[in-house]
Amino acid sequence: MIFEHEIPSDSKLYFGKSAKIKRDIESRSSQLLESLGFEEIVTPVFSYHQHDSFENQSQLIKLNDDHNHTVTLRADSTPDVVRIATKRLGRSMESKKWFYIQPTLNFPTQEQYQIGGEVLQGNFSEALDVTISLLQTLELQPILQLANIRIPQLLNEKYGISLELLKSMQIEKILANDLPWIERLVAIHTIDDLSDLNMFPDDIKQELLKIKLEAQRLDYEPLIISPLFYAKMRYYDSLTFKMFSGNALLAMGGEYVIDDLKAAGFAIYTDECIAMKIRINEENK
Amino acid sequence: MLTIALPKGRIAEETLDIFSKIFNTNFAFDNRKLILEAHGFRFLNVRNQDVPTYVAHGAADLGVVGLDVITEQELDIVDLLDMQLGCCKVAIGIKNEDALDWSKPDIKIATKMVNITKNYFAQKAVGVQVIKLYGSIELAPLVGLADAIVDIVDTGATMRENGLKVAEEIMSSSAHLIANNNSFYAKKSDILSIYDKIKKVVDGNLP
Repeated sequence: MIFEHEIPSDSKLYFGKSAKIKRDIESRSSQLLESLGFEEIVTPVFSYHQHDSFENQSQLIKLNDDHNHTVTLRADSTPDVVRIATKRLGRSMESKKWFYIQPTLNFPTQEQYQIGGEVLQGNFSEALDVTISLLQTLELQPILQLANIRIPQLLNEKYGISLELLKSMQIEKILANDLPWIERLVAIHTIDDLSDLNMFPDDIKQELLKIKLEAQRLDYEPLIISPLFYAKMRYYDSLTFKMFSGNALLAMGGEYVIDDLKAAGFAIYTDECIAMKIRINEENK
Repeated sequence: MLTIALPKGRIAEETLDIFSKIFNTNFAFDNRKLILEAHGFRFLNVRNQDVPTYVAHGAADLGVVGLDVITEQELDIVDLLDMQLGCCKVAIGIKNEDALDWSKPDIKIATKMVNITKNYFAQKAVGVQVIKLYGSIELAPLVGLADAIVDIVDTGATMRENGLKVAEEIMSSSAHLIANNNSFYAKKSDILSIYDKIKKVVDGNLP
């Protein structure tokens, strides 16, 4: 039996104070993004291209269009923003920087509000700097985690460590590999741990160096380095970042390639930010 | 401080014995208390199946729980170490006089472990009807509720006493040290430090 007031599990309802916080977060974010030269885009809820993004296709809510083509509800904004901005708007608009404020929808009934941005032909630093500015505007300072998905990919492709072990972080089995530097690689945690990279083979060293240069450029605390972190989005191909506090993931982003176009993007998870703002407000009472 | 969820009973006691060896002091829950704080650790005494939930939701940084429970719940956690405690098998049990009939279009299985069962039979491309039970699984084939069961087998005594035998082993299981994803990255030095110490005891290399 479904009650009259019942809403599906994991769908979102905001009212009163929480709705006001949501509106405030979105308003402050859109003002900042516009001031940084981003154009706003709102993409359809229905999409033909979501299956390219997800390793786990069971997250997608699928239906069919009038020609019986599979359509999915938007579970990730990035592929559609990039394709629409390049294929459709590219002819008439010059903007390379797009932001969106819209929810994503996952199976069976999960909603997640996001504020995201894509910098076409942009780089990692730009996406990360915008994300840090956004969270600072929202007066939030979570842990920033820097990673590089090429490192787990290289461990798999060249050093025989299964990607399944790396994705599920089976530490004992990863450390059991006969690589003289693997223990050191797993243990890297702070920028100081990147001071001497000479023990690593050149390919791994080169990817660690990218993290190091990014970490040195930043003036942000708390900052952690996680070379083995595997971001489970198919299109990421180099540096990635994650910002979290406790168990709450507040933001994520990275460099990626979609349709041979190099770009960088980010997403702020609005629902987690709202929950955190409410918690902080209550603690400050 | 690291918070560690332990499953009530023998595995909790054996894990606390390992901590006692490492820190050369006695770690033990007082009577019915559910929280123990000592040496910079907070231990939570929780039900076995709830350990991964406490860890995945961040209420605990670390947990100790059977690989069967981890596999069954399919949660996104870091699998740190096989602690080689509570070794057992997940197996298909049938009545002594029966044989598992793979030619049947649909096998009826009673179990607590719905996902492990479905995945195992799916790999064999055999249709399965899973009946979820919460206890006394061995009863199901005896009263015609199911053709077979999927359950934990330690010594096999419970199955034998109820006229059942192991038809096939699905997986080996033992208690694993697991970590919350964010905790692992945020508290990596502390977590890898305790990982090293526990591994030395598990490998029998504690000085």
